[in-house]
Amino acid sequence: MKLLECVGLTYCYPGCGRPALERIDLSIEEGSFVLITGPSGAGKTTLAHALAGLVPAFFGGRIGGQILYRGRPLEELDRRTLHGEIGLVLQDPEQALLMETVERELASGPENLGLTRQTIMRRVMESASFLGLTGLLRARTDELSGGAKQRVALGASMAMGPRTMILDEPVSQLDPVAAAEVTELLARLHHDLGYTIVGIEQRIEEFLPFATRVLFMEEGRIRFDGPPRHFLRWARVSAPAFMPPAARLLCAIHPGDAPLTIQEGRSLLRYPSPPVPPPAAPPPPSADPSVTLQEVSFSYPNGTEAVRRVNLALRPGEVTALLGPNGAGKSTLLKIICGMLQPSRGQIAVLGDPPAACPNNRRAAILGYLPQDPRDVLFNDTVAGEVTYTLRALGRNDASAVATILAEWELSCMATRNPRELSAGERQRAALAAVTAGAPPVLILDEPTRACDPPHREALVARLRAYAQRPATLLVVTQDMEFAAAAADRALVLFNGELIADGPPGEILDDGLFYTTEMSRLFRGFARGVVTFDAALRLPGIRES
Amino acid sequence: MTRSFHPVAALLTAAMIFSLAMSWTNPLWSVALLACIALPLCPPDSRGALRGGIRSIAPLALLCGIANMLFSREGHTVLVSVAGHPFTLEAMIYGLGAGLRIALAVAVWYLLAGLIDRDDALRLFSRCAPTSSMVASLATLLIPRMRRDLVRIRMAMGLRGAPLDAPGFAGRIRAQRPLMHAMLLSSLEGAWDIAIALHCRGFGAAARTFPVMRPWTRRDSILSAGAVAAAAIAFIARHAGAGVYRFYPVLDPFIRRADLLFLAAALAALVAGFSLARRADR
Repeated sequence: MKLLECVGLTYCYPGCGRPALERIDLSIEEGSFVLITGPSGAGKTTLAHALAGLVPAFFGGRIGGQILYRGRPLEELDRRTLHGEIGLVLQDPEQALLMETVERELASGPENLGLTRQTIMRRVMESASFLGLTGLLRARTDELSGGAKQRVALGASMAMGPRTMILDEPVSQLDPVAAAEVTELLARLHHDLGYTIVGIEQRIEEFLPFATRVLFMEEGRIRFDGPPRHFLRWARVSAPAFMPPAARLLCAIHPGDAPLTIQEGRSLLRYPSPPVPPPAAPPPPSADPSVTLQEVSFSYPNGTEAVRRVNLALRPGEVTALLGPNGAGKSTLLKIICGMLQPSRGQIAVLGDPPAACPNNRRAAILGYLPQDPRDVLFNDTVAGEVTYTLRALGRNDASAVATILAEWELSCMATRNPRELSAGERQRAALAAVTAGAPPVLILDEPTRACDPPHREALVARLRAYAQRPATLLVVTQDMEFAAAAADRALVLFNGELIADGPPGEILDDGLFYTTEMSRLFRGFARGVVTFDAALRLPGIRES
Repeated sequence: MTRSFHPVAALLTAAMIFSLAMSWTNPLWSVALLACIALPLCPPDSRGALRGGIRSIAPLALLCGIANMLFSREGHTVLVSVAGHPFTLEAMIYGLGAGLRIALAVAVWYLLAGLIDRDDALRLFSRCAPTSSMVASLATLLIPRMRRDLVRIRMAMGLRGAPLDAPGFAGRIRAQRPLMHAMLLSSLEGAWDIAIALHCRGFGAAARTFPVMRPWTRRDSILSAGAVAAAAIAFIARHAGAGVYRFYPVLDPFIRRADLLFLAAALAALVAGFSLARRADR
């Protein structure tokens, strides 16, 4: 039965000439699991907002065509019915949580719908039990881990009783453990309770095994609509960068259908035994370290020790990935290195000087920092203005350099646009362009692949590797294991404020349960230390298998 | 312990303290009340926020003092005369007193945020005044977020070479412009995100269910009693002519023995109410 239907849906945001959605014809069956993917700025979030009734009721703008819910125009549904039928889970759980405790957060939606007290209590109890939140009901929402926050956001939506859940990149900001947790919950909602799930994701490997249908969007239109296997067949030719790494590799070496799961992939992979030993890691650069930390610890004023006795030396020419769960202290460590926080104990030096003692202009010349939220570094009116600002701050006033940098980051066509009006992925690139414009010898990036689509992620890997060869020292915090494996020469794992692992990504990301890559899971038992697509292609005999 | 008072008790207490702050014109009394709020009354985990709030309002309070001195010709104690305009001590103290009362209003707001449970207040008032309660609730949600944003953005901008510590007053003001611009945009975006989240959560879609409220307990009674007693003492004092301060033509003495008794009694009632209420919780 058709649950949601878009008929010739076209939508323009207020003040925008170009439509964000263009002639969308789509019908979603009840009980299906629809995965929407595509490049950043393709209109995926706008489609999710349209299906949830936010467009144009909340955002304004011009709309053409119709959105039907069970055959009735969506705008005819009163808000109480709409929110009781369709739930929307937003991308950032930080922004979605409004109450102080978990219990109240779960109860807030049903209370807003005016349900009876008995129904509210039952809904709270059931959604908390289903999502494993019963032990956290009295906990403060601002003290939860990233995964728990996303579960609470999901629970708050579930407690309103919808049978359809629309989720905008629900795992993009979570560590691998929390992401697996949320993915499994969604699969259970779909399989066990018959929910209709519409999920938007850039990295589709987690969701593909559960999806019944995949939509690929580009420039406000649906380019592909079909079952996951058909999508992989289509993507092989039309959008290979969007294929999961294992499927992409097996397509390259196997004539048949691409696998949907690692299990299928492993059965297709007939690799010669005995297992191939890991490839030798390249020798670390011999240059003197540009960043050194000796016994560095940091405690917040409330007494929480976020970083404990960290010893570290980062060398030029090296890209280092800093991994670890949400709340492990990664961002705090970056801030210490950038001189934004003073360590409680220990010594730190960046190019020989303690960074906190450097004046701003000196620090800007030696250190580039991209925060988790790129909006923090975007304060000029145009994208070109952002790059110009960095160059001017360093005493350079070169218009041709601005044009070159914009072209390098594929931002030339957006040079005169306000960076805050760009899509999340484009904004991330604008921030990266602004931060790297002055070519600082030490570059610190906090989650640079957030909202990046796969082609831009691949391009970012190439750019960062080229940047390191200048030579420059790069430290990248990421939850994206595929990106860490492809971009980094060295991986560090921070857990509970302590550095618990340090080595080549082929070693650190191999054999992990969660902190690993698709390629490593595919080759487990066949070959060791294979964590990237390129490494797999370099294996002896892989093409003949 | 903090945020554990019934919203009615917390609001009543804040209203009483606010009425004291606004009715006392003696600057010394205002200083005493401000010190009282900042130390014994404010819950320990809210003191940092309160100090930050007072620090941010301090320049405005000083500006009041200077502005009044510039525009008022009243007062007999001329400090300096420029181009025939007398700058009097009385006008300066009057302006500073007015600024002090603004700082007190801010302090009472922070005290309330430390005593009240935002969720409880929203739930209690959302049925009768959904929009106002939402605005008040959002304000308490947004203010700490804005403070966190400010720290974060300042750090990130400093690393892009923004001359935030430029020398001189004018330089510093100029340097703050991009920071304020970024803050304003971030706050607007944050408010927009919260509005989307509220919309998705069905706020305003129907008459809200009246929630089970936290029960009124002994500590709520003690807290309210202390505040009401302080307000009653202030009312009696007012009728006895205490707490009213005359700035012009010459300043009244700041300390009068009879006044001091009333001030001590009112503040003691407040402190006792807070302290006993906290003890009743243990």
